[in-house]
Amino acid sequence: MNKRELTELMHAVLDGEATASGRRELDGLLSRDPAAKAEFEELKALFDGLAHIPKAYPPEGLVASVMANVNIPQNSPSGGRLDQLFGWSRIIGLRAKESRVKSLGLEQRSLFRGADMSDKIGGSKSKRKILIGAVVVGAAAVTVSLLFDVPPGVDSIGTIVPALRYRADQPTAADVKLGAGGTVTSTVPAKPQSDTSSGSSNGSSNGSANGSANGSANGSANGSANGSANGSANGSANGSANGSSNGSANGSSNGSANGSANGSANGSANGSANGSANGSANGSANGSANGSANGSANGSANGSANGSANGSANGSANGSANGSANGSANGSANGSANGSANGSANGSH
Amino acid sequence: MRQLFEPPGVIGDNDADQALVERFRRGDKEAFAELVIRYQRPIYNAAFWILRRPEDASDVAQTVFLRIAERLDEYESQYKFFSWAYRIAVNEALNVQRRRGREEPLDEEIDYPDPAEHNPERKLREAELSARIKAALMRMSVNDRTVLTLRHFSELNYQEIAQVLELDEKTVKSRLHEARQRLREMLKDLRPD
Repeated sequence: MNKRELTELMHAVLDGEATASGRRELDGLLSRDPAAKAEFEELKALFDGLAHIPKAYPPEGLVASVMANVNIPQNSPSGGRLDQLFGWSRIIGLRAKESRVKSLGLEQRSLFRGADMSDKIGGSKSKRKILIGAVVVGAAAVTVSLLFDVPPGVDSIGTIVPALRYRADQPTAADVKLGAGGTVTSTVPAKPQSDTSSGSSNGSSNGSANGSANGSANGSANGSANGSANGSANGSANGSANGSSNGSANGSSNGSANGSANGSANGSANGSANGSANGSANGSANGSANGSANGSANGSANGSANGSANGSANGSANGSANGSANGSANGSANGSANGSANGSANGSH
Repeated sequence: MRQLFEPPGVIGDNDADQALVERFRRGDKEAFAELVIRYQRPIYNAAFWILRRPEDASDVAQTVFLRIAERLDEYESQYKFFSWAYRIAVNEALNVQRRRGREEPLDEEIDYPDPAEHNPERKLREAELSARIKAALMRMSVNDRTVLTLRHFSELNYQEIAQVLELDEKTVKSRLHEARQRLREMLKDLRPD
């Protein structure tokens, strides 16, 4: 056995990888060769030193941090409960998660890997809602045009005009009857503005804006904004925003936001947010958040959160949280939490 | 002395790991939490000794567990779960190291584990020895640190290290041997008089 083979045998014995015959052979060699014995003792001291190096402790929050971000396999029976029990707050959690992912130079992962919210999910109930919504919006549009129509031939200069806060694309001349003269562009209509179209509609006003369309409807106003469409509806307002759609509905407002859709509904507001959908509903608000859906419902709020669904419901709040579902329900709150379900229910205070 | 003369034990009970993996595949999130609890320390330690910085090790450990969750469908049950998990961990740590580019000189104030902190009863000599070995390890190349970490801190055997690093066992033995020889050179004064 040459020097290198002897050293390798020493390493193997100390690593616990040597065979019984190898160990016996080394024992014999060491008893006859003091130099080899010294080398073995030195190696042993090194192994001993390495063995005594204490293990580092991971940070305390590692497990919680992992579990807050982990996704249940999509093919699992309860894949829909994704990001619920340990889910990040949609109000404060997203930024933290994004920054961690960015710091590692990783691709951005979707926060929620549940059902595709943009998919249209048919349902006669919601179609009826849309029809009713469209009728209501249409009736409102007719009423408004009858009551507040600007008479032809009257120059619009000099009408009382609130401050112009926002101005979206204006309807074409064919859509809206304006007074004589070309000065209308310097004014904002003093009265509510309605717009209906088979393609798309946009409305902006200091008072209110309503839009309905087969394609899309957008409304923004200081007062209120309503939009209904087969495609999508978006509304944003300082006062309130409502949107209903077969596809998706989004509403954001300082006051309140409501959204209902066959696909998904999202609402966020400083005041309150409500969302109902066949697919999913999410609501987040400083005041309160409510969500109900056939699929899943999530609500988070500083004040209170309620969620009910056939699939699952989750609510988290500093104040109180309630969740009820046929599938499962989870609720966590600093104040109180209630969860009831046919499947399972979890509540933590 | 078990560590000196016995084969390093398998960190986890592989049957239990497999059961947890299956439970998670069926949608049981608590099963995955159990896997994280079970392996957070060895995974974190592997990342720590490769990257040398606690904050990097923590980031990598988190990323590793998320990747494990995402890729669990790719895991084949004929392999040990922890070997598979370690491979992801080592690759992730080495990727971070590569992205960082050339290894920076060590900060003298680096906060690596303090033996006195968790083992107050340990003799002063052992503490000093540990500190010197750690300091020497920190000056070694990332390849040397990786193979030494897997063997001495993660307690993997040659075969398991070979699986993690996707090398053959002979190469693992050779790398370990050479890394230890370099470590011995750095710690010459450990030799008995």
